[in-house]
Amino acid sequence: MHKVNLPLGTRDGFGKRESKKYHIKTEIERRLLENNFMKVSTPLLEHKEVFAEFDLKQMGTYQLLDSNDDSLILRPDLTLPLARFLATNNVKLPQKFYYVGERFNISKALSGKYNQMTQAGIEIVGYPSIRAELECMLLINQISTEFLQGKVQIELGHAQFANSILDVLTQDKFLKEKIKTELFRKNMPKYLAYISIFKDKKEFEFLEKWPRLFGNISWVLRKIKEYELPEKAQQIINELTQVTSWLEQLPKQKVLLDLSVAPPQNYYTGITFKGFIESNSEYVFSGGRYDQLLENFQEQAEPAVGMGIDLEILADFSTVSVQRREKDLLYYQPEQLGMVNKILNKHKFELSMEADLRKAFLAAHKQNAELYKIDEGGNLQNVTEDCFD
Amino acid sequence: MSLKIALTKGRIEEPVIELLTAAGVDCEPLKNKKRKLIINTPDEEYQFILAKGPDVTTYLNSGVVDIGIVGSDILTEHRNEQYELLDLGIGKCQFVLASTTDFEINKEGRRVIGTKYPLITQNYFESLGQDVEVIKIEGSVELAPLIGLADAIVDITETGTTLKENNLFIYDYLDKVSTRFVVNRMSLKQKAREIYSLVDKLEKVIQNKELKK
Repeated sequence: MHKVNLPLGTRDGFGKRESKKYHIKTEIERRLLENNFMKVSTPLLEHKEVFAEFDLKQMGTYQLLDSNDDSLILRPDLTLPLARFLATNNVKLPQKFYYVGERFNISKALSGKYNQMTQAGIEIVGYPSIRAELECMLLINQISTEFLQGKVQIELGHAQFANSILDVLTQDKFLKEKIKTELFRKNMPKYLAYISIFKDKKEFEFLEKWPRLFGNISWVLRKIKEYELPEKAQQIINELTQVTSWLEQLPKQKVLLDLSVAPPQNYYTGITFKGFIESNSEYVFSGGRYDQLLENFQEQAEPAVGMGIDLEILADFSTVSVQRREKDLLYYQPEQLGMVNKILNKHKFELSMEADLRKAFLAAHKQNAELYKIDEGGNLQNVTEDCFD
Repeated sequence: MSLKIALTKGRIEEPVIELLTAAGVDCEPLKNKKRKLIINTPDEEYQFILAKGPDVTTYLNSGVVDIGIVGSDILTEHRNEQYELLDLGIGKCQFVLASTTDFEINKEGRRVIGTKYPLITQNYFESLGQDVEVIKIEGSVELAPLIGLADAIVDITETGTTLKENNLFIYDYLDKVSTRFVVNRMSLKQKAREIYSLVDKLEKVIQNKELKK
């Protein structure tokens, strides 16, 4: 016997879930192509250096060696390969791109999580305008309406907010990083210990409240008015308030604000947004602005906004039903293949696989379909039970 | 919708129930649970699920519970990624490096260390600039140096009694351990009001307890 079990953290895709996933993927792609997004497919394998931004050990990645003994990696993310692609292919900017593909992360063994995920995403490169962010969030709303009964909540944040507060308090880079890490992880015992050195500063009250500043926009804004914020932080709040008011014009769109959230990756530089549904504990959408990322691959930075879409969660939670296509069946003799070809150009038939007419009739009956055959004159004839009398 | 709380079975059950009761949670069904593993409070505000510590982290990560009450030893060892909102100040103990009298930490060669906590052990020795061989042990860790399986052990101890009774000595003190109140990230987003209301009540109870000491 051959080995039959799958590698840890992998699974086969088939049946209803796979058709649903395919349907969602195709719909999203259709929408993006119609809006002149350029599709980019990058290889599953990349040089390890492409992902220098990440802590690969922490992430858990599959790595292998090529014939030159160079370290290759099964891509754990699709944004960095796209950045590499842009730096090396002289593609004209500004431009809107999209991708759909597999990414790989080794999750904790035996935790019930999967290591291979299909992810779609868009990258809008070269546009400094807020319209790039709005395009992403509009897409979240549209996908939410089409596939998740409009239940996706958008959570807004800003990659610079934490720095805008901490820069005023301390110049100690190490301390700032520690505070940010514990704030983002909401590890309160450690966070409170780190901020205790600012106990005598007027900002301390804000620092204490900070990890709780998330949720309903009007609530967060009301709370934040109680504190005097550094000018830069206030500017960010104003920007986020503005964006929220635009988003609230979208149908059924619930918008939340989180001032203590970690950006999706550390290369983000501006507004960040995530989308989630109540029934699941992972984000379906995640993105934001990262104006410096391309600088890691080429000399010049480019303004860019990107967003990842988790197709696995969409496939699991989408209420869209993809039904088996009801088609009538055509029974034919192998020597009629030429005629069959002509008929299929005009009519929609599924070809019967059965070797005799009676079996073909029974099979059609079983799937509630009509059965047709080609008569001697080359015409279509509906096969009814009477034919067998 | 009730809040689902995974509670670590065993040693910390009693002090946790005490804290929760003081915070106004009706814990009567939890006290009289017999062999039941899922227990609802009469007002249906909370559902308790009794589980082993490492499983509490698994439940939290998969989002099947909103809250986990579990030791910081397990959180560190399992690289917790969920929100740790409160130190409950109970179940206090400490990681120690222990061995028999003849143990020499700086002896030439690679030490063999027995432990239930390989990650914490490795991190500790790495911080000392030492490379050790770790043997994972599931229980009665104290046995390892006595029967010659390991040179020393890294384990948690509350009073040190078990160590003493087995003629083991403490060579170093590592991180302190206590029971934590951990919340699933998405649950906090969705049920912030209910969760923080419980956190605030518990925090008051803990502060009052500290004051009385």
